[in-house]
Amino acid sequence: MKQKETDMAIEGFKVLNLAQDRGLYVGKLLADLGADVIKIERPQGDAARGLAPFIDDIPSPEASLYFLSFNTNQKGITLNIHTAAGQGIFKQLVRQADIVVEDFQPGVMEALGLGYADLRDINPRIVMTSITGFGKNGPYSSYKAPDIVSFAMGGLMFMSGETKTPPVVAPCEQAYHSASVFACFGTLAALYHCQQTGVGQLVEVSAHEALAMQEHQIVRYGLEVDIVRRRGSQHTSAPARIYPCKSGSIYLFASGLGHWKSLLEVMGNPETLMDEVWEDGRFRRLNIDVIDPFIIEFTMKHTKMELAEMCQAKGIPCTPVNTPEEFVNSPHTRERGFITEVEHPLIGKHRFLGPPYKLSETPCRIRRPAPLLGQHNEEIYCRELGYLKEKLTILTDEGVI
Amino acid sequence: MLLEGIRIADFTDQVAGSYSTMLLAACGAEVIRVESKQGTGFRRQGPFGYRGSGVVPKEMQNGLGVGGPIFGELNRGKLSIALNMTTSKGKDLAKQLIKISDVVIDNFRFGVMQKWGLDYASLKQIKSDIIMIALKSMGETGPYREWRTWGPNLMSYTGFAYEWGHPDASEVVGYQGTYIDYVAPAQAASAIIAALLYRTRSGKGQHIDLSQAEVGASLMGPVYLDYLVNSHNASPRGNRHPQFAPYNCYRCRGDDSWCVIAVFSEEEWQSFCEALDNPSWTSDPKFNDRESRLKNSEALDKNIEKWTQYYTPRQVMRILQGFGVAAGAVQNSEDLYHDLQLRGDGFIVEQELPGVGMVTYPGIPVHFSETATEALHRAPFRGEQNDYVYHGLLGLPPEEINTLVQEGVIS
Repeated sequence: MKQKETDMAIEGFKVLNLAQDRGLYVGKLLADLGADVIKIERPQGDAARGLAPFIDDIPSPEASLYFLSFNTNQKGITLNIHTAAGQGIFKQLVRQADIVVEDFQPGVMEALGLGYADLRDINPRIVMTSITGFGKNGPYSSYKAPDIVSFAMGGLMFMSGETKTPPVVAPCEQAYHSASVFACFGTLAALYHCQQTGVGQLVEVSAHEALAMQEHQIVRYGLEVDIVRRRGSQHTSAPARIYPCKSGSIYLFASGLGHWKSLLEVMGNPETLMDEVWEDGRFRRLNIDVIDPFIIEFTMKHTKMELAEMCQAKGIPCTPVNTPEEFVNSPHTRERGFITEVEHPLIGKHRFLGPPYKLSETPCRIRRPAPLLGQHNEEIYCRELGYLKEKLTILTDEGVI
Repeated sequence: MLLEGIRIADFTDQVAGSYSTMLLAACGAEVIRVESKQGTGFRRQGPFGYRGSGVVPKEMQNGLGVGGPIFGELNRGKLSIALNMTTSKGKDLAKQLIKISDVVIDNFRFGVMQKWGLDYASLKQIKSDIIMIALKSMGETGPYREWRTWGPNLMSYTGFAYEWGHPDASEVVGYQGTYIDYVAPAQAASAIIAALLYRTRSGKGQHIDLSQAEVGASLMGPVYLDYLVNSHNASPRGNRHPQFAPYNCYRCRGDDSWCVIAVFSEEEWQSFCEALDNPSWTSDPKFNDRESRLKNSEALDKNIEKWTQYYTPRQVMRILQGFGVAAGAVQNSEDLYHDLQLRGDGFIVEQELPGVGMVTYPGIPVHFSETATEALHRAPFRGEQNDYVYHGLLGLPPEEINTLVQEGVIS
């Protein structure tokens, strides 16, 4: 007999997920927390189905690991909301939904008659979350904003990379995901408010703001009037950067006075650095070129895990620079059970990252893999909306579904 | 207000924890920082002035200022009480506060709250439906749970440093910032609100174990899935896209000036050529279609840079966006400070911070149509709301508060 499954935090809430790029992660986060998320794809499939990496590196719409990683726990239907019939069907779905997530260019939903004002008329409790590149108003609002444009405009790219090479964008579309995690937070706050008051609302997030608020750049420029330049992994304080070692490298953050003194001890108290002048953080920062050779001489004698353990034993923040493989296989990741499993029709059972938080009463769990294209059309259209199968066929022929 | 009536006992310091409670304060929750003298490290964090030359101001050294601007940035909209957690009366007062709170946030090192008797099992005895979140770098379980880490450590530990760089770099470059510190707070706030929604439905509280390292790894889902399914450790991708070209960062006019350009469809490629006034190289068969452009991206990018170097980053952006092609300036911190979009939106605000002066802050990057986020008042002095909390909320008579102050409990 099947064991009774635990509750999920936001189970029963219905989400219509129209996101296609910068909002992709929102649907996954809400679904992992237990919401019933319907992923709505255009009839030819989400553009994300065409993005690498692929299973065994063979491109196919059902084999994009990019798509699979963001769409677990969701049901999938196809619907062309650019047709009048499609808009009508979407409005029917909105009547029974709690949340709509969309990330089109500003004005697109309004032009389709599916803007917040339209949806509110149908369902005053609806929470609509819009994720844009630059916001819905202002001089850049109509600009196209793929990840690299948002990351550049948001001020983080300029400070990324080595001094002498061009700025480099973060891996895996972080402008999109920064926007998405804030959108998830805003959506849940609005949902909580709706539960208390019965009033829905429009939640707006721009990737531009979600990046501009990071790294204290605005605060720092306001006071220091100084431009933050690229400098690899070097922190504003020192010693704090990536150092090479016998195998790979480590990030050593020993710029606090206590950590600095402990580091000297671990290094065997090199005479040159024992003078009291080195206890001044500003002096260390200005003379990092003197300190670094001593540190590197020491780190090159040990492996990254040896260094992490030696330093951590003294309370010094030091961690290995991991590859994804090393992170997955570390005893810590294993013991925490962060890696979970999912069964996909094409791949079979495979490993998958778990959620980044463990809720004791309502643990997130994987209930289903990402949907195949249109996998739940019949379930949603026929069983939930009550369409006859013949109607489904006609709508499919007409390019609506 | 979104989180009307929700009270949060805030045991946080540094960036991620403090930012998470500020998000909740912006939604109207009452956030009360519980500050022991030992726990005020971050108030002393600079910068304090021009080029970081500022020494810690006298007011700060005397404990009279609120703190540095970064503390000020991350603690707007909150209240603060001073409480000496090394005393048993201090621990009792903390428990009294938790008894009338909905959420407890523990962002301290592993074991600190346990040592104070403020672990989840004990708090559940005091308030059965309490929601407690442990917001820790490595989480509350596992062999490395006691590891000390700062933001940059997590960037290296989670694979971010390994994946973040140009493909031809000879060694790992990494990032000077602490990216996960700004994403984890929103994830923590989401988990808390999800737990509040569950409490509304079930009457039950719960414990949340959030690992910032796991937040970080989750942000690279496709790269991790590539390993988990294909046993493939992706190497750093740099700026180019494996499926589209042109897609890169290009040198512009001026010192250390850069723009980015991204062309996806054939239509965009035609518009791009038109924007450049169709120089002869654009009709070279090497750049005829997407596959050819990808194959010859080195030559393609060289040609494009011949054009971009005559323009400033913002000129490139305005010209190309005018033609419907995605392009952006690689803005530095000065550009960001003067950014028209951010300024026009009222996203950037100025506020007086006692002991420092006028400070410029970014806003909260979420906007609600019906329940405007709170205008966040300046960060509190340590213990600024002692009277409100100890007298107003906990009902202690003024004489008893005086005694506790004299005994060094409220201090």
